[in-house]
Amino acid sequence: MDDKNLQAPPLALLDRYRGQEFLPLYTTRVTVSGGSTGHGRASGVARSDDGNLDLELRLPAEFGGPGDGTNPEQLFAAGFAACFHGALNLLAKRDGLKLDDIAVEAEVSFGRDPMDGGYALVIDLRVRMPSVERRVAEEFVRNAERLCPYAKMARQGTVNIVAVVD
Amino acid sequence: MTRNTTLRPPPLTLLDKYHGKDIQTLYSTTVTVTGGEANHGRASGLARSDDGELSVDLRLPKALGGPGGGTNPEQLFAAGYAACFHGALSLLAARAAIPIFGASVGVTVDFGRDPMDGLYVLTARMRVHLPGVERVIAEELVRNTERFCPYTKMTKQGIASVVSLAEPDDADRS
Repeated sequence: MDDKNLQAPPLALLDRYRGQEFLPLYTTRVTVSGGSTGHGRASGVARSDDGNLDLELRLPAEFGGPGDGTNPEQLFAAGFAACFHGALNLLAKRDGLKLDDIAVEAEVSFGRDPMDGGYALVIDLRVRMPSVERRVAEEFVRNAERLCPYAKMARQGTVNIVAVVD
Repeated sequence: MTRNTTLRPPPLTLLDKYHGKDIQTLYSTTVTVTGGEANHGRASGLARSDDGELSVDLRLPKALGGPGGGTNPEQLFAAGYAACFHGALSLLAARAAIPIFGASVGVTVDFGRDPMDGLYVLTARMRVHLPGVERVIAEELVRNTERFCPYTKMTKQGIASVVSLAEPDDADRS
């Protein structure tokens, strides 16, 4: 990968949008197939339309699998933490802070849901901003919670359309 | 990356209803994202799981002014959702003795501006391909999977989430 001159996106991303319709900025598609067992979690492959994401999926040892691959919980944790990290960086930059030590840890649990007897995901996000005062860091975190669409989805869900296609 | 041990799907007992009164965690994993060269997780970050099984470079896609060449939160969400749904669908089909070999699940995620608060929102569109399965049966299977897959549940109603600030002297937990 060419790692020269990677730049954070512009601060203009923090400007408020005034339009009246949803405005897509980026669209991507990932397809999962089942692999040798036919079961996406156990032996699947996840591949994005641009090929930049191409991962093998395996059951972790907790589910009797061999590990040796990733799983939906890790993918969700990674996406949420990455999105939140970007939001924090933009907010800090707007305030003139150049922080090179932000780390975001997302712990995702997959478990049984007492409400419907099925399954639920739970996320615990821990933010490290060691070089700013706690009071300041807390405000960044609060603002990032509003800005990051993963945090919004965790709070209130999101638009989701499911279709069977031929 | 993967050794070719004989892989098996999880047992059908995962479909049994749970009767406990509290959330019962079956599996927990932690992924840490750091910012990299641009100090920005989306632009130059690294996402790494505690067990090392997930380790991906993050880059801004061209549509957002970046070079591409790495993945991003939208792809990670799409992949996780599609994988979870594929697994749930396979279990329900196995219980109903419906062969679905060759099934694939595609999830398209849009990252865009939200007219409600002027900020950002993610949307998901899923297409389920079940070759050789009669349409009416496929649709029922997909409806049942929607109730069962916790990612779908999250898109409907959100999930339990806690965001906290670690103390600077907290030991690294991973």
